[in-house]
Amino acid sequence: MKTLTILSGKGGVGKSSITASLAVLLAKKHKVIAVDCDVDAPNLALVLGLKHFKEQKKISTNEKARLISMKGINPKKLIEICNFSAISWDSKKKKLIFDRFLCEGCGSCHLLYPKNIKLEKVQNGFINTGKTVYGFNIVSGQLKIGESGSGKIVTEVKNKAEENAKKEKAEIIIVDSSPGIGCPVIASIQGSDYIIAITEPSPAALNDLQRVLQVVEHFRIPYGIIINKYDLNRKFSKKIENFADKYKIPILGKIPYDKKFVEALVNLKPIVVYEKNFEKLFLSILEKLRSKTLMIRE
Amino acid sequence: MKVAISSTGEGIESQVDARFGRCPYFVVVEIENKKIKKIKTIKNTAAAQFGGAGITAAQVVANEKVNAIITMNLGPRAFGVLQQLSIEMYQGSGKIKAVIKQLIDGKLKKISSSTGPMFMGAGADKGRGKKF
Amino acid sequence: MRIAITGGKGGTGKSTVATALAVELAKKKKILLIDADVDCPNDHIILSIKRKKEQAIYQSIPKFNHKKCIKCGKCAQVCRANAILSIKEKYPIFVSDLCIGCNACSIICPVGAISRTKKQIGTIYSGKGHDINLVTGEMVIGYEEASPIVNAEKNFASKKEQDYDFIIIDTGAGTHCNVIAALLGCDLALAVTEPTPLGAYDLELILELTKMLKIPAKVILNRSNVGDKNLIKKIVKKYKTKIIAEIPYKKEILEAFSRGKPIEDESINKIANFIEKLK
Repeated sequence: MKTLTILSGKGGVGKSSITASLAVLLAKKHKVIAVDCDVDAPNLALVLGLKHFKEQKKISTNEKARLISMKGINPKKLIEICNFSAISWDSKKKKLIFDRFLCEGCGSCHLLYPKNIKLEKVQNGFINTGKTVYGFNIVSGQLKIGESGSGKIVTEVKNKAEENAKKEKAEIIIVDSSPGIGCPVIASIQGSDYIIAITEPSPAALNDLQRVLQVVEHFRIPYGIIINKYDLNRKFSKKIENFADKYKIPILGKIPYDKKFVEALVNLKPIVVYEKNFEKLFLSILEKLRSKTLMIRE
Repeated sequence: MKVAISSTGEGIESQVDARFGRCPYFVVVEIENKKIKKIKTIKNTAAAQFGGAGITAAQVVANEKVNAIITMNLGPRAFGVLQQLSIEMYQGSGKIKAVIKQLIDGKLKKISSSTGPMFMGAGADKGRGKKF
Repeated sequence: MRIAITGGKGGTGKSTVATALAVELAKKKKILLIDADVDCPNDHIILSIKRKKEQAIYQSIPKFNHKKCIKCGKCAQVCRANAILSIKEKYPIFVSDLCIGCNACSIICPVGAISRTKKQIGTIYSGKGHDINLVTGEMVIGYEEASPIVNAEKNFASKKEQDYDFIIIDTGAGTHCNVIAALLGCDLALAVTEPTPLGAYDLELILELTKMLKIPAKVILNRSNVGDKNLIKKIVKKYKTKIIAEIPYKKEILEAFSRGKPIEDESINKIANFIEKLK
């Protein structure tokens, strides 16, 4: 079993669209599990036409501090101990305020006053599981609004996917990650066997691509890139290609801009299903991937 | 000397697993006077772990009181933990039996800093944490 | 007045709108633009502003005194970030990448062997261009927690806030801690979205978040002529808000962006008018 992870740094460059199309094509020859690790804004299921999940599991990866009694507390000491400014003094109401948005659940306040402050588990996310019309399962994470800890949710989602993959004897886990380079992205990268980074021809997208590739380099995972909408600015696409050449980064494919991509999204279909003409292009990406990794059979 | 090798299977006839954190087994070999004295295989309890597998795997081998490890691909966090434990890190590939011989003959390359080359995939001449 | 440009989904045009709006407003007003997408800040690229380093952002980390340490392992037990490992008969092992900078290990250590030191987690930059003052926060590669950088950046900017008519905060994508940190304390949130099922789904998430944070939110519809507008209208109605401007998909806009330039469009003027009336 191998894990293939799609990321981009910059958002909206086509991660979910491309992941969905690759998953559909891979599923024709392999047992595949698709995983949505963009737990802030999970969209992969939608692109694969799945609106309702078969199963939803609540998960709790976070804790928050709660004040139980004020007896013997030195408020100043307590406020100082919290490095996240989550504890403050309301001088009007003359009481301590615990801000639940700022609390990281580190437990420092609890260690200082074990009897006065308790840490309570909070439900901060969901793991949804379902089956797509293309015959493979999808595991999708969702951060509960207003909660934190998306990185830990990503790890839970991936563990659930691996469990599911073992049961189904799946060969490939294909992971759609979130934009950025922070905790959810690092959690998505960890344990991957190959990374596909998506970019588009704009200075912003190239900057973000370079930032996210530095993270991938940090974790020493092999990778290749796809340039999406390459024909919107051919000159800049060439610049990206030169960058890739210079650092010997394989370019797995170049995808043109086409309004059909948006139409496909609106119709909740992956582009290779909505417009058969694109199949050839995506198959060539898989072909390149095959030569770069041992994960995909002929 | 006691060394743990990331392995695809049990015993020294297996291959070195490219991954340190998520390899299924560690083959632990005791070497005395340039000869193999004792061989045992332990399960890597971190293998199924997605986040922090390298760190847990480093703990697994540290609990075996090894002086060195051999693997192909070592993540930055596992590297940091092994370094703090003064466990030597070597890079090797192929059959474990052959790799042990290379170690005894002093032919294995040390993974000595976080600027070592990428082992697989893109740009073999690049350093870790490369700035583009 | 603080206005956040956000959106939930990535790539809907947050930075495009934030930079264009800042340029437009700056023709009459004093504008401070804060790029709070600390994972991947891009506003300086779009505005071609050369940034100057202002200060490094640090986080507290433990420092272990091996002379005092009794190898009891309590520090590893209380560390909820799993940044400290305890191996029998060995000194604690510290994984700096995972440390979130709380004080738990120092508090619990029975022999006072853990003092504090610091590591760099980000950088604050500033710059000027198009009559805008720009403040950018940038996270160190490999670090995971973006919200402390957003908070440090907002703190840095707050010292000068009274000099400006409007503070525009360009948030990152998503709905997690860094976006929450950027939104807190804002008077208005503008959610940029696109007329696709994905845009609609993520818009609902961000409107739910702004509702929870009690920040009034309005919607900007980008690429309004590509896709299905009704998807967005439904969500807008549900959250009793409105679409204050529609930015069409035009080749010129896309080209401006891909060349690294702020866009100009009458829809941006419309947003600027809406904001000017608020004050």
